[in-house]
Amino acid sequence: MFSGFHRLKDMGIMGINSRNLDFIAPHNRRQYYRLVDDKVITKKTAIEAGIPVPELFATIEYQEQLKRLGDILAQRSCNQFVIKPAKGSGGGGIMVIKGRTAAGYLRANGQVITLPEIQYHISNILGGLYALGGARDVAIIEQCIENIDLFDKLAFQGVPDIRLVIYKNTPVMAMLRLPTLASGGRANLHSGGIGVGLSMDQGMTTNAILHNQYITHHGDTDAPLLGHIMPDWDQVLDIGVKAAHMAKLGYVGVDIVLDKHHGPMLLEINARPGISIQIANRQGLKARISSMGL
Amino acid sequence: MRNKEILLVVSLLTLIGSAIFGYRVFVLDFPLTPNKQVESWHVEMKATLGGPSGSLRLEAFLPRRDSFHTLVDENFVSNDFGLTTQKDPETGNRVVSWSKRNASTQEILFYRGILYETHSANSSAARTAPVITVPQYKTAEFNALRKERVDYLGLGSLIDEIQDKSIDQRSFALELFSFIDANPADNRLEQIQEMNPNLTSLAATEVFILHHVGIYARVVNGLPLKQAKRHASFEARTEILLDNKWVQYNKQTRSLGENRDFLRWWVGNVPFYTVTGQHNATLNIAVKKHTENALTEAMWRGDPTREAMYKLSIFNLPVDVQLVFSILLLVPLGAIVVCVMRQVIGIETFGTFMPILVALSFRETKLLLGVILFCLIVSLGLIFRSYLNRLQLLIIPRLSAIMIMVVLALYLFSMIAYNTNIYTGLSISLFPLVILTMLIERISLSWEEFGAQTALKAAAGSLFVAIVSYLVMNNDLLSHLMVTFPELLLIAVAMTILIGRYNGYKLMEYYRFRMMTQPTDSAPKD
Repeated sequence: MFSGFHRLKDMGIMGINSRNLDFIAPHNRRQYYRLVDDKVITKKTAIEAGIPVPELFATIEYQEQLKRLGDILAQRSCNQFVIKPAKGSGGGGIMVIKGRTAAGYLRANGQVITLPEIQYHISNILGGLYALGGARDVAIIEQCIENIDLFDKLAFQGVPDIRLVIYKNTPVMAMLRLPTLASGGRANLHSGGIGVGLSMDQGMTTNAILHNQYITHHGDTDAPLLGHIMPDWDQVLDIGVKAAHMAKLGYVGVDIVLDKHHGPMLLEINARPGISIQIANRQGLKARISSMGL
Repeated sequence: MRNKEILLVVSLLTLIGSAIFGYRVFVLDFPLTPNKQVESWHVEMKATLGGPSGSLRLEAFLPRRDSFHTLVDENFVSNDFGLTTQKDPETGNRVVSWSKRNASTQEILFYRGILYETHSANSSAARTAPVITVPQYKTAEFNALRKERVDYLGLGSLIDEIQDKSIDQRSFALELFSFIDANPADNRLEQIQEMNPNLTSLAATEVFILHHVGIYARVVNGLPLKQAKRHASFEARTEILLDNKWVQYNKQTRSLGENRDFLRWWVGNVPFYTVTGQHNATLNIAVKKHTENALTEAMWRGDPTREAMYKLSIFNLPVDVQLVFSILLLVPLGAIVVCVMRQVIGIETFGTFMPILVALSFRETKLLLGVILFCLIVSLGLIFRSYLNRLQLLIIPRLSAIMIMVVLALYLFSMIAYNTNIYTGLSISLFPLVILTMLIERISLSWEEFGAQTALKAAAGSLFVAIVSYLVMNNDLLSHLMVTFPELLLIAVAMTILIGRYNGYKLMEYYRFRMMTQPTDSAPKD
């Protein structure tokens, strides 16, 4: 561990303090955070800017509306949807419904859940349980992403997403995040998801990490992780740049999902993107940025 | 540009802070290290008077010089009140009288006195020996009363019983005190008190009995000097004159001796204060140990031309405000610990300043007990929280339910601790209820969201930071420096600004990125 004291700097690795002071503080203005912190606003702005996003089915703003939740869900006659907090962070509070059974709704992990349980979950979201600072929040019900064949092969349940780090409107680093059994369908690395580094030129998987350890195969599916090429890579990069531009932020993380039928779509924008992406790519962000001449 | 500005601000703050600090240390001789020897006490009396406007007079006793304490300074704050103090030559009691013809509906009066502990006993005791006027035991007058009055019947029988076990005044007094200590509800005592309604305290009754056998005794009202108190209350004690010394009975050692740890305020079984007029009075007494005698000396040697520098000291504030600040001034130390732990070392905690509040509460419970209590309450809370999760409640009622359970748990622990005598001095008044509640909620959320490992890691991190904050805040030297030299706050701000611009790696990041710093070929195996 101590042998790495100088190496970190030599490798151009970005620490949290440096990310906050040297990248976020000078390039991200507070006033623009609202757009990315609230997923409802992100979605609306993205539609105006012509960026594809998962379709919004409904928003729940008041406890009152919960009584009609059954009707709202039935109206859509859609059995697949995702419930998430508008201001959530770190993938908290996301509930994926994959279908309906006689007993109730079927979650992505196979668990059957009743309508009152869904109502309770949404009421927790409204109370601000998952929001930054515990402020009141709004629940979003949106289209459930249908995985492309490649992702069905790679991921264990859940929806993988591609995280792009965009600096000064240029994509500098990319990572594919795969849910695992342990991460409970979530793709976030600290929930136990797998991070896979992607080459910037064609979106090819290069290294994979799980809990800061390098791996080559998915532990749950045994699928080999390296050497795959992301489909529609140019479109992915294009969405990333457009989203960063739209958010008016100089240093952002853009999360993009790939839908079987609709192609790449913007999921959310993060004004404080994590630094683990460096491990997945085996390269420091500072080194990457300076090598790109930014 | 920004870095230059920060350098300027930091050096300016450090310069001003250390200049004032240096001046007070080297020129004004404020002590750098805490001096354990306690030499003086500050007492403060605050009278709050409320009522219809009109003429008003408040008479109250003032602390008096006794064998162990000398009054060195006192001030009165009483806006346009007439003020007189007088000393009763017979009892030695000192009385202050505040009066005003047109008092308004709300009046506040202040008194502050500073007493030094003296080590050479003043031998003034004999001068104030009371004159005994009551009928003496076994005289004809006493025997006559014994036949007539039920209280003297009881008194006589009590004295008979004690007299049998004793040989002289000292042993009589000892026997009497230990008897009353063991049987405070003896029916003979009740008989005496019933017939003599002026014997309002046990001490007064004891004096009454002692006088009948010719022992010089008096009721002394005063404050036990153990620790600082913001709302002290008077205790009435019995003192008897033996070998020219006023001695008290000590329950623990069952012996008679002079009591140094008792600040005598007034003698006699009379109320502390009297109000003439239509106002109601509330009198609050605060007492605080003066932690440094060297400091007091520096303060007393004060030169009026350098007044401002002396005024910086919190020891010029009212005693109860001092007590608040002696804790508040420690919080910056905790804040710096949190900054270092989070920004430089990289330990995860729940909530930014939660560890400081927990550390402050450890001051009340002491470290080991505090940590045990913390772990117990948090684990109980988590169990309760996981049950509440099944019931599906709205957030705020759920938080309230957890908080109520925390109160209940604290209460139960106090009961258990008290009843098993594990720790009778358990004081959890400051244990941060709300903070604990939020902590329980956040741990359990994090547990559900990110798994037990993440949640427990952050919980352990919070506890660790709290312990370190406690150790730093409870360091005698550091806390002495912060409380004596508030100008060090400027340096504390400078430090936090510097940490705020630290863009280097956190210590934990060397661990986090360890895989990247290893040679590539050794990493992937299968």
